[in-house]
Amino acid sequence: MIHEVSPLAVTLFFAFVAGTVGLSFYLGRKATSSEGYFAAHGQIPWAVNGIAFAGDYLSAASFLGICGMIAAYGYDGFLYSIGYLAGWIVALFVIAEPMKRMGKFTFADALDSTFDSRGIKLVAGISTLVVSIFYLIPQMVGAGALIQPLLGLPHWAGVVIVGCVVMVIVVTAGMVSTTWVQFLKGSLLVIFSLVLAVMVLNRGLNVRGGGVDGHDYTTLGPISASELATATELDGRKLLPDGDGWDRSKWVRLADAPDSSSFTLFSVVTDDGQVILREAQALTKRNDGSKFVDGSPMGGGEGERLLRPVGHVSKLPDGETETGPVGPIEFFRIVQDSEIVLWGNEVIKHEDGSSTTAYFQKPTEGSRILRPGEHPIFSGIRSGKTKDRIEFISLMLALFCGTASLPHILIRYYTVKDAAAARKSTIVGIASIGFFYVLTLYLGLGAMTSGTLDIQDTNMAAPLLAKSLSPALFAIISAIAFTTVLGTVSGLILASSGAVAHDLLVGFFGMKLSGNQQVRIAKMAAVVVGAIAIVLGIAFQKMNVTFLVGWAFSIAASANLPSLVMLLFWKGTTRQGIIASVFVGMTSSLLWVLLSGDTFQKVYGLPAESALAPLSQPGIVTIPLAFLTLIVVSLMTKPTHPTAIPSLHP
Amino acid sequence: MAFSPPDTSAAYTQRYNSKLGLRLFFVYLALYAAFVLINAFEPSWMEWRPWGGVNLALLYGFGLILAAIALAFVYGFLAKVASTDHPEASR
Repeated sequence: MIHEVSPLAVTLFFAFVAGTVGLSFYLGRKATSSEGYFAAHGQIPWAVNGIAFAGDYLSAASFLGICGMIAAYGYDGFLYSIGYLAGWIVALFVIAEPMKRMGKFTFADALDSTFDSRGIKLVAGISTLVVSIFYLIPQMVGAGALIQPLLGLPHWAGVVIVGCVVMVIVVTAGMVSTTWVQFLKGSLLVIFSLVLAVMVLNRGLNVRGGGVDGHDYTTLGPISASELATATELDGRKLLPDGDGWDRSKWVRLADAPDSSSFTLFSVVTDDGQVILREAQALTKRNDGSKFVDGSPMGGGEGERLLRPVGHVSKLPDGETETGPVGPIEFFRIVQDSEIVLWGNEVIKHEDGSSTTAYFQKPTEGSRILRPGEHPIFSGIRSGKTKDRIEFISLMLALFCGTASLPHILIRYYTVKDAAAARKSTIVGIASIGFFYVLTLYLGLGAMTSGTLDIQDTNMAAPLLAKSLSPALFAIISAIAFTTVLGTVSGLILASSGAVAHDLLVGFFGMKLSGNQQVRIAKMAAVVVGAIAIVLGIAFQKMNVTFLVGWAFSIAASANLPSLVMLLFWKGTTRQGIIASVFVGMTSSLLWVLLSGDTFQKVYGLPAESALAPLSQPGIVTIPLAFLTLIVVSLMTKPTHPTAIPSLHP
Repeated sequence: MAFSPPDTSAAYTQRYNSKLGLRLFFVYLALYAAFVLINAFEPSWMEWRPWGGVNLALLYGFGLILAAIALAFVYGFLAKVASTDHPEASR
């Protein structure tokens, strides 16, 4: 699908970018010392910090990824909302206040608060870098996906623009500007998501035959299977021949004109010997890179075709055709008793090496859409296989444990003045993030039934939903989505630069640097990490945003949480135990991810069955492994004088 | 009987808040674990419609989000603030 560039959206986009960069330069003078650059002098008001938590946390995966997953599959995307929020319970009840008391600038400060160990600083610094870079990839991929419809620029341009703007934000004023950018983004995101949800409810649900372009999808039949097998014409149109990957038992192509290469694709649905043909869409990619939609060149010009927008209600309860405005509970009840047309896809390989992706309609009962297990990631829970169940539990465990282990979230505890402010800001964060996640289901289902979905890119569901409601709202939501990426990427790059300058160079290598020198090096590190993020964002363009975030959570939860929790609650924790736990948690989860079936299939292009790791989600093995490592190593290295960590256990 | 002011020392406050936080954490953990286990082992239960014509998956999912917000406010209301709760004193 090719999106028209909206002048209003472009204007708002540049206004947002100019505003955030201007704010960063204005605040730059407040961040010359290391206290100012890394922790905003600990003077951020708790309420502002709480909303900044939301700005930091509600990344492209939350806004674009979850809404897109709900729009394409239903309830399963909401499972991520539930898991992401649950992680904040660990942050508030276990981590928030001790983190503030124990640390100064970075996660390593807290972990090393009682040991003063170069080894702890090294592993914690490396772990921060690894987790941040894994988390940066989906953010940058999301930025590239956004910039295409917004400015009409290619994916790589979006990644470069985000990378450069974020580098300016971080280099000019560090945590001060990052906090205020995140505060603005968090506020705008929650407010305008609420506006969108209210408009979705006010619009209600309508029965349609297709998307907002006005095209109604055709259904032919029923006819007998034997009649189809021998037919040369259907509906007054010539059937194109089988072969070269096309199989009439699954696909039928009807020529649009006698001598035309353009066709209308139909998927074949067989039921009790009878056949129904449902209109589908075909996108062919040739070896020279050219693309064809239903046999015509892809484009908006004469003789060209575009993939049609999708997502419509095919049946409402009691034979109604429209509901009018609905209430928040009524909305779910109606969706549950309706039939909605979702879309699946299948790749057809041709003899010359080119391929066609055939997109086909899947009319689905609302009761199925609003139950878990429809998305490929979660469908295993209905398979009855133990392995699939463990896979699901592993992902939900990683989401629960990952939030309180993310370096860019942890450093936000240092920007407030004391433990009470850390607690209060986390409560504000939970309230605003929780409220947003409630809205995601309305936004996702609203997009699913809006007739505007891009069949190739579900990440654009929320902005396209806004477009179906109001062009102005599309401009605002697109600009906010872009700042969503800016806010999270700023936090991640700041956490990485702190790890390089403060933990590794000063803490591990013992370089004697003044506060100003640390800031200067951190700024240089921010530029380097930003450049790495740009390269990875371009390289991983095809990867699923939400999926990548799941990996980052698994690595963070395995590397960081066990040592932090044991340090707080077990007096027997030793320096060696912490180092071993972080190292084992990080390397085991990282290796697991690299050897998993999903990586084999989606990154290396190898069969998933040849993967060495038995599950895609490592958390259920690697999190307990890191806990166990800490306990065993701590017992083996128990000090002869039992003075382990008195200050943490009053 | 002599009046004794409430103990707001940093050590007492940390201990009190830590215990309170852990209790609330385990309450939520039980709710979350039950949700995950039902989905993993008895996903068909999630299709049951116990209230308002809406299925258990939606009610439980929204319930978990609202429970997190409610428990956070309970913690904020019950947690104590130490008289010396500022960074210089607590670092």
